[in-house]
Amino acid sequence: MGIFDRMCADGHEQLIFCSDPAAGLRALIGIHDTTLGPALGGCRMWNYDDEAAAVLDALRLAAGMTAKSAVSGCSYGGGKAVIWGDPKTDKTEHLFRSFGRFVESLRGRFITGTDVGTTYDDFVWAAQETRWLVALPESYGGSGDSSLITAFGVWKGMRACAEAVWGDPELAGRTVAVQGAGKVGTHLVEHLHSEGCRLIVADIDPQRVQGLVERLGVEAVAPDEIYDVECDIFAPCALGGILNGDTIPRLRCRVVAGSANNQLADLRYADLLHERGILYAPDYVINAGGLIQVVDELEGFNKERAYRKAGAIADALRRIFQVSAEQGITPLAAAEELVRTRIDRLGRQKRIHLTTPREGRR
Amino acid sequence: MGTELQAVGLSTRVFERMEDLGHEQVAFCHDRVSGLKAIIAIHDTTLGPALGGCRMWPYDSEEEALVDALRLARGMTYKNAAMGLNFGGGKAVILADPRRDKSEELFRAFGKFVESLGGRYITAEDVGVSAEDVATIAVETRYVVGLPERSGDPSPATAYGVFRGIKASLQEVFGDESLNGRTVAVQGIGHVGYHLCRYLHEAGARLVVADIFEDRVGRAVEVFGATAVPADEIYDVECDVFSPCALGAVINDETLPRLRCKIVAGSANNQLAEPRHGAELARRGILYAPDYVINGGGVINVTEEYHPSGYERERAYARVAGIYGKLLQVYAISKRDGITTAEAADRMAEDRIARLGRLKTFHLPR
Repeated sequence: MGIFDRMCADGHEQLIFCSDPAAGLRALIGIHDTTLGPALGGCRMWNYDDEAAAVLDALRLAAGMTAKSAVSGCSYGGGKAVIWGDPKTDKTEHLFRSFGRFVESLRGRFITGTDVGTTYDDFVWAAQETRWLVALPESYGGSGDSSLITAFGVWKGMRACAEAVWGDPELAGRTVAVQGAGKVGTHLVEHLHSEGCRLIVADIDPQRVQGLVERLGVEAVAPDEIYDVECDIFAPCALGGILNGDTIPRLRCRVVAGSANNQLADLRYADLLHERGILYAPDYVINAGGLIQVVDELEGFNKERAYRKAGAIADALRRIFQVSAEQGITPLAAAEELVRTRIDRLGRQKRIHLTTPREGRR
Repeated sequence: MGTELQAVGLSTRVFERMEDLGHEQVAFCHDRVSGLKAIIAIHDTTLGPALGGCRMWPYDSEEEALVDALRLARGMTYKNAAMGLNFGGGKAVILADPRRDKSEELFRAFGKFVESLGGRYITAEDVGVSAEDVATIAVETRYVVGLPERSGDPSPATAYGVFRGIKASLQEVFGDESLNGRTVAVQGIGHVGYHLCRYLHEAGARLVVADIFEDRVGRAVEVFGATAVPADEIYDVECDVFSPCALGAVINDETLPRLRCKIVAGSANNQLAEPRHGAELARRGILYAPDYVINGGGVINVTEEYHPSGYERERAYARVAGIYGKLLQVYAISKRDGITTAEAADRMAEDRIARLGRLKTFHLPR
């Protein structure tokens, strides 16, 4: 089993190893599919156990970005970078500027920004070396924190789920169990509170939950009990892999819709949810608000336009649920079909030749 | 995206290898439609964009291909630096069988990947890739040299450089660069070997030749009045210069004791089986012209395509002739520092990279 075997299996275009020992840099840039446009995806920093783990993460995450971008109507392909190092101890100006030079070397075929283990400040360093960055702080011309728009998109997406299950998008009076009261979780709770939901919240940090109890009157449960709560909607807004063989039988909800990445421990759990009559909003569809914001930033950030596009996550989900119902497949399978269809159609359209400046010069 | 399945059996050691040899970047490139699998290795770009050919070979494994790409890319760093060129070292390998797997879409997909690196890697023909293939690659990328209508076949330029290098080596050993009456044993009369024989013959040298292909030998005998010997006996020929122009690793434990020459100077790549064989040649009083210095005529010739007024054969050959001076420089470093000529060539290349790398610290507004 080699790198090319993995790339062939999932249709990756390119995997680039970048090395700068003087800067302590070991970085991988994975480019999955650029049919729709330049590859766009964050840069993760993680202390992987071995190189294979870093390779697989870069490839897997890049493929995930292709799907997210395609299903959200963005004209970008899928890519992801991973820096192999400890985000707590290994960050330096030297390292991120070296990474920036390698990003620049691809001349815009790959555009990146913050992800797990990296912060805005890291990319202020990288920005000295490359233009191909998004989600810089507002003070550097970026669109800033994207957790607000992500929460907004999840909220709107949740309304589409309600409409599919109960024939009515209104959430007033519904009970929503929110796992995780981080930035996105908290903003989501605020939206749902203002719409008149009953809210049950859990977080590994009790102080975060306590703040919401005091401010908005939500109910608190212990982190592990959130799966057993009787509710209409379960909203995972923290870890990945939380939908698995252990938790799914415990769920007492009709809808799973939250902002966390990679909620399914394995893709087959989408089938299990489907069998249990639980509507699952594919994570990469409902949590695309952050991506939508950075894509808008690439076009010259306009907040109103970005929120309008994030609101359209509801439309994407409606289409997915429709295809799912028509074909008797899971919403996840339906989303994947929409991704494939959009890439195939727009890929074929690229056959129409447009004269390039280079040809003009001949 | 079934992550649990993916982790099975993947084991790679790319970063470690890159760090051992000092490579900057390695790109694995795949195209579903044409089936292209290519590795582009960029070793060092201190002197400029990485320049090196693209090889097509049915490697047994991905690892073998990677190791080859890394080794060849590093070799190009040294060659380009030693030749005084403003290019770094890079190389590409396509994992496929040149007899079966060539297609227009494959080479064009490769061209797209070369283009994707934005000029940081410039490609050219190499083993298994023809000038016509290069023309196909060039449909998709500007970053390609050695097109038929530009500098064309590099072999005659390589041969001319080797000829000049042999003269420099004669000068070093005998204090007389003349080939008149000298005996040169040429191993391999392919593209480069043939042109080299022509230069040597015209300069009055006596030629002894060997090749595994009889027709090639016959032609050299007929055209240049060369003496033919069986392929394996070329090492035993009493001569002034032994010129390996075929395989690599021909200077090894088995052949060394047989050599009856004063100079080893030929166009083959990687002539020394191991670095210690360079020291052994010196111990036996045989002057070794480091392969990547003496065979640099081809790369000098193709880079002339970047001259502001375009490629011009006469100017290119004048530059190739400079290999004479480069080799004398290598020999001088070898004597000055008491190291083998192969080590001296490395030192000359490394020094140039170090000195010009420091120059890059000057800021100039873009």
